[in-house]
This record gives sequence, C-alpha cells and structure tokens, in this order.
Amino acid sequence: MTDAQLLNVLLLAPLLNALLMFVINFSFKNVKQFIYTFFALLGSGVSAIVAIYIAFINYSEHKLLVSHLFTWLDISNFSVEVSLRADALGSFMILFVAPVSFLIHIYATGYMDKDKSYGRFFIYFNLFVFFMLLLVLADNPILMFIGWEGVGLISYALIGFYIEDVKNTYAGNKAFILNRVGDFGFLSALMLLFVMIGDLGFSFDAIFAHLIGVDSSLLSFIALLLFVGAMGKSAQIPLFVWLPDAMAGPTPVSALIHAATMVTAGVYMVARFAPLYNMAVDVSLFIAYIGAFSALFAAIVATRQYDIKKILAYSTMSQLGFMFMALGVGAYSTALFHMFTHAFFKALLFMGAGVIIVAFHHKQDIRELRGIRYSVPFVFLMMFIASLTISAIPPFSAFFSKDAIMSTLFASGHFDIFIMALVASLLTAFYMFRMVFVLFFSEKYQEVTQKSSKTMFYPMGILTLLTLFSGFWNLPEIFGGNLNISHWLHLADKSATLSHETEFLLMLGNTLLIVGVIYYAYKKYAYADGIEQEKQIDFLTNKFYIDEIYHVLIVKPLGFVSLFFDKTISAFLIDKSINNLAFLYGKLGKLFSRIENGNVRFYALYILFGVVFGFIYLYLLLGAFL
Amino acid sequence: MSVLTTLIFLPIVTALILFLTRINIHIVKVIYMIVTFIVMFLAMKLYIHFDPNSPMSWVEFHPWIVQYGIAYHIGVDGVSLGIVMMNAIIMPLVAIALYKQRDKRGYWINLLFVQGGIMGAVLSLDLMLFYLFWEVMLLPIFFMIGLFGYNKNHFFAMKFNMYTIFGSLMMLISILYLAVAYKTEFGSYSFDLYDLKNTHLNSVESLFVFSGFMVAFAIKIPIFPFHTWLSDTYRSAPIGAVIVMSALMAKLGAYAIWRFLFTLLEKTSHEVANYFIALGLFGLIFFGISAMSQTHLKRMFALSSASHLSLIVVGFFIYDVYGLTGSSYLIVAHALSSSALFLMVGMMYERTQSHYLEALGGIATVAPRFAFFFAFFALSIVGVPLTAGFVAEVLIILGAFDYNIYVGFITATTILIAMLFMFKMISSVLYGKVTQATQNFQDLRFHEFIALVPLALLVVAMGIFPNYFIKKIEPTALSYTVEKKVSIHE
Repeated sequence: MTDAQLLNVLLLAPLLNALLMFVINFSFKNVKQFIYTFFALLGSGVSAIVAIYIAFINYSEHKLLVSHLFTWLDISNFSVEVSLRADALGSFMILFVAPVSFLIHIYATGYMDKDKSYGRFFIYFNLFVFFMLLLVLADNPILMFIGWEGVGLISYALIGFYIEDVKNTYAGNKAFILNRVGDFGFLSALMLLFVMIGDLGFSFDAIFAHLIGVDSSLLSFIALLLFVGAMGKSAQIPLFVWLPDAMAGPTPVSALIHAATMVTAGVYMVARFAPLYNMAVDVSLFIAYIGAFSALFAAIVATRQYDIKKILAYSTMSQLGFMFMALGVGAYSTALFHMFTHAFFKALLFMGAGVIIVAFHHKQDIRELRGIRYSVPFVFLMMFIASLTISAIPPFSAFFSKDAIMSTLFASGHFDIFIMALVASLLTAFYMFRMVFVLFFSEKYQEVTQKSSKTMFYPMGILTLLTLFSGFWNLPEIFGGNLNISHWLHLADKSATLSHETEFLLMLGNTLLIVGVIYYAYKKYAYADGIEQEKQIDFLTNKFYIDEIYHVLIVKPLGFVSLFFDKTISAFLIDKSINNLAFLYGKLGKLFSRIENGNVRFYALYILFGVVFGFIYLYLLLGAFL
Repeated sequence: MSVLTTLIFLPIVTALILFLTRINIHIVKVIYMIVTFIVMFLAMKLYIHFDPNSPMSWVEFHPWIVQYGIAYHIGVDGVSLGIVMMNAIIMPLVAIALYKQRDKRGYWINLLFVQGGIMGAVLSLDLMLFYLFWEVMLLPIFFMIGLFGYNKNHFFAMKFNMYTIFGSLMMLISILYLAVAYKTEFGSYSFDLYDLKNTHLNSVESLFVFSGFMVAFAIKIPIFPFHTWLSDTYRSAPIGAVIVMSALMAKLGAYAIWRFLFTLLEKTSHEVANYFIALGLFGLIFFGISAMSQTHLKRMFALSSASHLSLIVVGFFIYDVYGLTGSSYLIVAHALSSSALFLMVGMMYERTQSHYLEALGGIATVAPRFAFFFAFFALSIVGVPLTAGFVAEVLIILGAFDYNIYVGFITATTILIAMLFMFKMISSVLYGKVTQATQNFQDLRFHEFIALVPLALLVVAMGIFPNYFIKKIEPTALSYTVEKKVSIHE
C-alpha cells in the first residue's frame, strides 16, 4: 500500500465501521450483540495496526506520509484541503491514540456487555476514534478544528449516554458548552491568523513559514486565544468544571476520552503550534502558570474526594497541568512524553475503577468499597502498579516523564512554578495512595457481586506492561539512554539542561519525599480509620465552590437577561407600544363614528359650524386685502 | 415556455384552478405532489445546467406595461439559485411529511400559491414585478394562519398582515420615488433594476429611499426592533406556514437587501453598512438569549431563526466574498435545518398535542429514530462540524474578521449563542423520563422518514463537500465584491 492509502485506511476504517453499525442499528431491532462487537473491533483494530505501522515507518525512516483526499473549500484566498499528514509529531500521537483506543474498545465489549444501547455505544466509540485521528493527522488548522469539535461532540453524546437520567445529559451539555467557549477562542485565533497571513496558504507549514510577518503583539494575542481552546479541551483553570461531571458517562468513556486521548488534545495543539509559542514567550509563561495552578488546585481537591472516578478525574486534570507547565517553559517533547505515559497508566487506573464498579453493585464511594483486595486481586495489583507509576516511583514509566518535567522546570529558573509542581506531585502521591490504601488495605472483606468478563482483563494486562516499561524508550542521558522520543519528535524545544549531579540530586530528593508521603498515607489510611476521621472540609469537597460561583456569576444572570430581553424589551417596550399604536387607530375610529350618528340635527349643527368658519376665513382673507 | 416562468407560474396557475374547482381533497393532495415534484425536477435540472460564471442566467425579458416601462424581467444567479432550490426541495417534502395530518383543501392550495409567489419574488429583476410577487406570497400565509392556526390565530394573522403590509407600502413609495426620479433624469419611466441603478439621487433622497425598502425587508426578516410579530405568529401558524416563513420568506428579505439595495443604492448601502452590522450582531445575541427562556418550542425556534437571520444580514452587509458566500450558504443551510426541525415539531404536536417543553421528555427512549433526527437537526442549527451550518458560519466569521477584528469577535459568538438554548431543549425534550404525553410516542413513520432523509443528507453533504456547492455561488459573490472595490476606488 502506498503512504496515502495507509493514511486513508487508518482514518476511514473507524468511520466506515461506525456508519455500518449506524445503518444496522437504525434499520433493525434486536441485533445480535456480536455483530456490533465485530465491527467495533474491526474498525479500531485496523486503525491500531496501521497506526503502529505508520509510526514505525516514520520512526525508522524519518519519512513524512501525506495523503490528499479532496478540496474542502476554495473561495478566493481561503482554500482548505482535506489532507492528512503523519510527521513525527502526528505519528507519535497516533502511536498511542489508536492502540489505546483499541484496547479500551476490547475492554468496553466486556464492560458494556448486555447493555441495551450496546450498538449506540460503539457507534460513538468508533466515531470518536475517527475524529481523534482527524484532529491529529490534519495538515491544516481548519481540518484540525473539525476533528477538535468532533471529539467534543462525541464526548457530549457519551457523557450523557445513560439518557434516562436527565442529569447525565446536563453533564454532557456542560461539557460541550464549556468546550465550545474554548473553541470560540480557537476559531477566533485561526480567523485572525488567516486574515494576517492566510492568502499565502493555510496549511501548518505555510503558516509557520510566514509567522514572521505578523505583528508581535497580535501574535501573542493569537497564541493566547489558541490556548483558550486548549483550556477548554484539556480542562484547565478556569474552564475545567466539566471534567468531574463528565464522569457521569460509562467508565470506558472516562478511560478513553476523559483520560487517555481527547483531553490531551489541548497539549497536542500547543505542541503543534510550537513555532508560534516560541515567538510568544509571554503567553508561554502564562500557560506554564495556568498549568501550575491547575495541577495544584486539582491535586488539593482530589485529596478530599470520595468518588473513585472523581479522584481519577481530578488526577487527570492535575497531570494535564504538569504537561502544560512543561509546554510553557518550552519543553514540548517532555510534555508529550508525559502525555504518552499518562495515556497508559491513567487508562489502566480507570479500567481498574470500572472493574471495581461493576463488581460491587455500581458503588463508587471508596468508603463503601473498603477491603476488596482479596476479592479482586488482579485489579489490586494493576492499580497498585499504576499508582506507583503516577506517583513517579522509579523505575516505572511516569518516573522518567515526570522527572523530566521537574528537571526542566528547575532548569528554566522559574522556581515558583517548580515549587508548585513539587507540591502537586507530592499531593498526587498522597491522594492516589489514600485511594489505594482505603480500597485495598483493610481488615474487612467484601464479596464480588458480579463477576467481570475476562475480556476486560486482557487489555488491562497489556496496559500494565506498557505502564511498567514504556518509560525506558525515552531514557535520559543520566541513565545511559539517548532520549529516543525527543530526538524523533524533533520539536522546537528550548529547554535548558542541568548538570548530571544536580539532576541526580533533584531526582533523589524528589523520590524520597514521595516515598515519605506514601508512608504517611499508609500510616493514616491503611488498616486504620483515617478516612472516617477525615474532617469534612466542604470547601474542598465542593472544589472551592467554583461551580456555584459560575452559577451565580454566569448562568443566573443569563437567565435574568433572557427574561428581561423577552418580557421587558420585546413584549413590553416594543410590542406593547406598537399594539397601542394600532389600537389608537381603533379608538380614533370609534370617536369619529360617534360624530356620524345619523341625527339630522347634528348634521345641521356641523353645517352651521362649517358656514361660520367659512365666513370667518373669508372675512380674514378679505380683511387682508382691505 | 422557459424554465423560470414554469417554475413561477406552474404552482400559481395550478393553485388558481384548484381554488376555482371543487375537487376531492385526496386529488388535491395528489396534484400538489405532482406539481411540486415537477417544480423540484425542473429546479434540479436548472441547478445542474447552471453556469456560475455568467452574471445572470436564463434571463427573460418581455415588455408588459410599456408606457410605464414595467416589464416581465426575470433571471437567476448564484445567490438566488439557493433560495430557488430550497423552495423547490422543501415544498414537496412538507407534503410527504404532513400529508396525513392536514385534510383541508385550502392548506395545500395556499402552499402551492406561496411557492409560486416566492419563486417570482426571488427571480424578479423588475421592481414592480418584485413588488407584485412580494405581496402575492403574503396573502396565502395570512389565510393559512387565520384558517388553520392555533390559539388567538385571528389576532395574530391580522397583526402579521398589518405589519407586513405597512412595510410593503413603504417599499412601494420608495419604488415609485425611484421611478419618478428616473423619469425626470432620463425622460421615460422604467422599473427595471438595471435601469434604475443609473438614477442619481442626492444623499438625503437615497437615504429615504433606502429606509423605505429597508423597513419592508427588516420586518420580513425580522431585524431588531421589528421582530415582535414573529414569535406569536410562529406559535399560532400551522406548521406548513411556519416552514414557509422561516425557511423561505425570511431568507427572501435578507436576499432582497443584497439584490436590490446593494444594486440600486450602492453608495448609501455601504455608508450605512456599519449600523446594520451592529444591528444584526445585536439581533444575533438578543434573539439567541431571548430564546433561552422560552417554554414553547415554536417560539423558541422562531427566535432561534431570527438569531441566525441576523447573522445572514451581517454577512450581506459585510459584503466581501466570504460574507456574501457565507450568507448565501447559510440561507440554504438554515432553510434545510429549520424546515426539518419545524416539521418534526409538527409531528411531535400531532402525537403529544403539546408544544411545551415541560410536557415533553424521554422521547429518545420510546422513539429512538425520531430522537436521532431531531437531535441531528438541532445540532446542525448549532453548527457542529460536518454540517452545512458550520461551513457557513466559518465563512461569515472569516468575512467579519476581515472586515474588522471587533466585529469578528462578536460575530464569532454565533458558535456560542445557539448552544445556549439548544442543548437544554434537547435534554428536556428527548432525554429523561417519559411523561404522560410522550409515553405512547410513535416512532417515525415511513413517509416521515422519507421526507427527512433528503434534508439530512443534504445537510451532511453540504458540510463535508462544501466546495461543490459553493462553486455555484462564489463567482457571483466574487463579481459583486470586485465591483465594490472598483467603485470605492472611484
């Protein structure tokens, strides 16, 4: 197959299978479940294999793969091609997006087993893979925006998947609306870019080649607007409030969309626009601060959450904050490396949570789920490994990626950001092991109520292996590695380097602190009732009341304004006055009709008036002559 | 007889014949079906053979009232083609979707009549002819609201009528003024668009003439603050009339601004463009936010339409190639989506006897296919990618940013506005628990399905392959904007 065909197959396999499943789902009732299973796995499986192959070609031969499908729009200077390109960054993205999607598809066939909307679920899931790949492989920002909005749309549909409860769909609405607020920034930025340099071509290459012609303050503005889009999609302060609510969707959705792939799109976008952000240094710094605040905020809130999925959701937000810190100081490939490892361990954590939720009567509160170690030993093992990884314990994968972020932050000289990152990473260890110790380390014993199917465990096993070993691929020089991924990506990194001694000390101190925190969590929560004795801090459980603040500041006023517009301005001010004007004619008519009442005496009177006024007029007229 | 004349008069003449003879309702429906399908077929042929590069195609010119220079002058170009196509495609689909619901002869006769009227108004290149058709298409709607409408329909039919006639009279005065001015300058009467274009008016005169036209168009569209007839009329009107008003007649108002005002009073139009862009943007936000607190579905969609029409007006007044193309595209895109949505509201009313949000709910559980189409069209109004609305909105936003960066930002809020009420609406209509009204909700019937599928396919096709459709519009838009640049240079 040629390059173009490979890319087309990669992109269109999930789309075609989604369409097929849609037609089947629409036309027939009571379709056998295995038919959907077959098509769903076919679509994502083919794209996963092709994605690995493409990434391999790109990695080994440094070959750029391009495929031009058709012209989307061509008006005057505005021409947008539907073409795909797999450069190093794109290949790297599809390398984990497509296979992780495939693994979660497999997992979901077990999780969604016997659900009455089984078909609908996999239509959305395959469509999601399509839009995500479109986002990643687009060769111009407009096409990327289409994929970007597409994944948002699917995320909306899947958050509100259980439609019988209208609250779920409200969570979906919230996600889509907040994402679109971000998209408003994204689209505005693209349009501004086009107005400035679009007539020279609007593919990524053309844009980056002509950036020099844009006024620098405007360029910063554009960079900022683009980042607003990333804030929405990647759940950063202040547009993050949808992510915790998004946990209303089925757990595979949380694993795939709200942990491993879609939410990382913001990080990808900033990395894609690296040439732009390298020119807008002030905005980059702003990104780093937003990332730091988000990481810290989410980590603090996560320490007082009791819903297992909410803990993981805040943890995702926090980890995304780490990636943005790295992006902000210009360490693009470091951020992407963390995104890579994060996809594996976070998906694994969510899958574990999903197994637990299914196994124990759809309970999600960690206080009610105590003592399940011996009922789900495999899950315990895998989640324990994943928790060690996310806490950055060597030699698991996230140790390398998070350590790379910490050392670049240290090297960049922004110590305030570094301190925030350090605190956030310590809190990460704390809330993760709080969860682990509460769930698994207790004298109690709970019986599994519903056995999980085997298909859910195989993908988890694979992800566990990836969680364990994927870090070695980008081994830093200090351990004798040669940063394979960073070299492959070849992005416009501008990271300062540390001497090996400093880096080693940093690593050591970091790890010791984290181990200390884990020990503290062990003392407090394992085989103890630390969780029951926790003081309820409503401030934290309710995430600083941000939702309520938004409600008072935005939602309520909008409702009032809407009523004011409709009732006061339209109905009262305008419509009433126009109606009254019309009614006035009616009243005048009535008045005049009273004059014309058919009585001869009245008419005689009118004649008299007429004659009198006529004479007066004549007299005045003549008087003027006289 | 040529194609365009057939498109105009086939429906009108058929309607008149049906009106004068007393034929069984079933045969009326069959005849309606046949005629609208012929019109659709002819329009398709027109579309395929349409040559976008010629400035005006299929022009017909027959002198009519010679001593006053009134002529039967019609023709089609890239922008009017969109409305012609929508008029031809939507009318038969309305019949397919609703043919079981409406058993009154007048309903179908009026719809046929209005189809011809709209065709005439879109294709006219003579101002008197345009005025005639503009009035002709008003009457059937008036009758439909009065005869087949819902609560307080007589009052609202009258209100609608008064409003529109007031606007039309203002336009008539402007037309006559222009014609007289032409007579004094060139010595003979003419009502032809391309003759009157050459009339020289001083700036005060042209401002008055402009206002006369604009009042008529602003009421029809409607632009803020001429909108107060809208939501009540839509609420009271039967579905067929609502579709005609929202999908076709309102668009005609926006189209007429471009066709007549920018041709006749080019300089004035460009001078006042800023004010109307501001008014349009205000309307976009005002109507959108007003729609948020509506509890009646038809009222909500009425305001939603008004919001999008304000955006179309903005696109026309921006008057560059992106704005013009985008607005022309949005005319078609919105016609497709809104007519489908209103059709589905009609189906919903037939099944549940309710238009109120709080009475509905849980439809997705009992009628998944209905829910799919309803959600699809609602989302296409919001302008999600891969639907036609997305393309149009991107183009208008692009034009706006090109025009002025602040205008650009406010225009870009369009991607937020429709969302404010649409998602809440989808949630409360389709999701949640079934209510008393919706528990026996019947899923899409076959004929309803047949009516909705072409609309959905068109929306998607126009979203994925916009270039094919836009190539029919672009040369027209381009030719006008090139003229503009030259004339500003002078």
